[in-house]
Formats: sequence, C-alpha cells, structure tokens
Amino acid sequence: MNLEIAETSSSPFISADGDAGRVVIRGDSYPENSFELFRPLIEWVETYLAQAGRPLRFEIELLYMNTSSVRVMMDIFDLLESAFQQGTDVGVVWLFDAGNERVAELAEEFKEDCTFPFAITAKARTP
Amino acid sequence: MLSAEDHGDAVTARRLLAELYERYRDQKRLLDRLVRISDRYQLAERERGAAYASDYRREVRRIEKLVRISDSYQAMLRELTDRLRTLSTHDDLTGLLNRRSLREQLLEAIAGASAFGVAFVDVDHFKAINDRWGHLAGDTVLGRLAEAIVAHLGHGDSCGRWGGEEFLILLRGRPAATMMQIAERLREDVANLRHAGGDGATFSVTISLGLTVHRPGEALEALLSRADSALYQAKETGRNRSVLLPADEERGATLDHRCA
Repeated sequence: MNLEIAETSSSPFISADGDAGRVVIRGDSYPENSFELFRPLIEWVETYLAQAGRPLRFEIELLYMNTSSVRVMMDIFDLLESAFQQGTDVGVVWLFDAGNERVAELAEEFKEDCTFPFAITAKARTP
Repeated sequence: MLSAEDHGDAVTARRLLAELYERYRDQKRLLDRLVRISDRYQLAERERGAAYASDYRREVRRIEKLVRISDSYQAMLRELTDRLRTLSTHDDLTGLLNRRSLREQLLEAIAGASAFGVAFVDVDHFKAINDRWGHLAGDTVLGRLAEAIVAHLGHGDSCGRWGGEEFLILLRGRPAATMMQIAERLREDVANLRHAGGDGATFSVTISLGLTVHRPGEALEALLSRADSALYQAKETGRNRSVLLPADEERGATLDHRCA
C-alpha cells in the first residue's frame, strides 16, 4: 500500500509508505487544483488509519503553499487528530531551513489545534 | 345503625370512589410521562442547537486560521519578490545599481527631454591593491568608494557599478563645469581616505574620471564610448585626475549632422 506523486514546479513530492507508516511531503505547493492533487493522499491516509492501529508519521518540508493547499493540510491534520483521539499513534515532523524562521512560524499556526506530537525542526542549511 | 340497604350503598360508593381514584392515577401517570417525553425532546433540541452553534464556531475558527496562514504565505512571497527585485537591479557588493539598471536609466535619460552627462570612475592600479592588501581589502575599497560617490550626488543623479572597479555616474541638468567640480571634489575626497591594510598598516587609493555630456539625439553607445575615451585620457596622462570631453568634440560634429 504505497503512493508516490512526483514533484512538479508547482506541486510537491508526495510519498506514502504503508509498510514504514510514513508520509513525506516536500517542495512547494501551489497547484491549480489542490484538492485533485491531494485527494489520493487523503484517501490513502483515511484507508490506512481505518484499517490499521499502526502508527503513522508525517514528514513535511513545505516552503510555499497556496490557500487551497493550506486547507488540505488542515484537513489532513484533522484526520490525524481524530485518529489520535481514538488512540492511534500519529505524529508530524515539520522541517524548515534554519535561515527561514517564517516557515517555522507558519508551522506553529498549523500546530495550534493539534494535540498529537507535532515537532517543528530546523534543518541545517545545505551548503 | 345502618340498614343492610344503606350498607350496600356505602360499598358501592367506595368502589366507585376507588375506581375514580384509579382513573385519576392513570391519568396522572400519563401526564407525567408526557411531560417527561416532552422535556426530553426539548433537551435534545437544545443540544442539537448547541451542537450546530459549536460546529459553526469551529468552522469560523478554521476559516480564520486558513486566512491567517494564507496571508502569511502571501507576505512571505512578497518579501521574496522584493528581495529578488533588489538582487536583479543592484550590485551585491556595493548596494549600488548594477550595470543593467544603469543602462535602463541611461536609456530613459536619453529618451527624456532634460540634459545630462555621465562620468566613468575607475580605481587606479586596483589589481595592485588586491595583490598587495588582499581581495577583502579591495572589496572594502570599492564599498567606501561607492559611499563617497553617493555622498557627492544630488537629487536626480544616479550611480552604479559598471563592472569590476569601474563605476558610472549619471548627472542630470548640470553644466559641464559643474560636472567637473563634482568630479574633482570626489577625486580629492577619495584620495584622502585611509584604508586599513591589516596589522595596523593603512593605504590610500586614487581614482581617475572620464566625463562627457550627452548630445541631444545621441545613441547610448556613442555617449559611453566618448566617456570611455575621456577616462582613457585621464589614465594616459598620469591617473588621479578628471578629464572631460565636450559633446561637440571629435566625431561629434558629423554625428550631429546625421541625427539632425
């Protein structure tokens, strides 16, 4: 049960690994239709959380997002939140460039209503 | 004493009363049940309303959050655009305009109605400075030269880094004599600056300037070429000096006829 969506100039790399229980989203996200782009991921997450009591980790490294992408991420975090409320082990790690504190501030906004583990971690600057 | 008949009546009356009371109890039970059920409906309705209100408040909070995050992203992109714009129009080292922006300003000045002149400014023996004092010291010299140039400019003038150790100044609405005064004051000020060479040593640098005035109708390349000739003369005649080539000298006359 794996999902992989290649990165484009306006959409991020998305990978969901059912065996590892890990979802990676990396890049910029301002596609023309965010709901279409993210629908497979949302369905994947719903299916994964419905059948398994197994843990799920999100590793997110997003820089720029349009409004509909922000909305989709909020929906995904809602799914994680309700799974967490039912006892599923879920967590998010949001990585940002050490030089770009604003991304960390935005991640904090996303984190606000989440009670599950949500780490916002600075990544050493790539030379 | 009650007669047997009377006694029978009393029994009947009591039975009737008991029946009546029983009916009354039934009615009361029914009424209680009705009230209880009605209350329960009322409670359920109230809870349903409260749930709607709570859902509504939650949805409003979500939308507010969405708008807030979205605004932040927009601000971030705007800052990035501003930064990129500055990077594309300015020189990284000195913060002055870069060559591309200077060319745009020159073309605008040519298209405009006001008179203007240009000056090439070049550091004398810059390679020797870099070799003797190091590239960092050389960069510092360029930075301070940029500051000195800006300090001598008036409102409406522009300047930028043309390349390497060469700067270009655009002076608007100044007679040739005033341009020369500005150039000479700048040259003297720069020669008086002391630069740190490390280990307490200091050094100074000089600049050469080549000036000319734009001739109405003249193309950019012809103007720059004349300013370059002026700079070349300043270098050839010993450096640390300003040379102004008037607009009507050299090939100027023939160009004038062609443009007229």
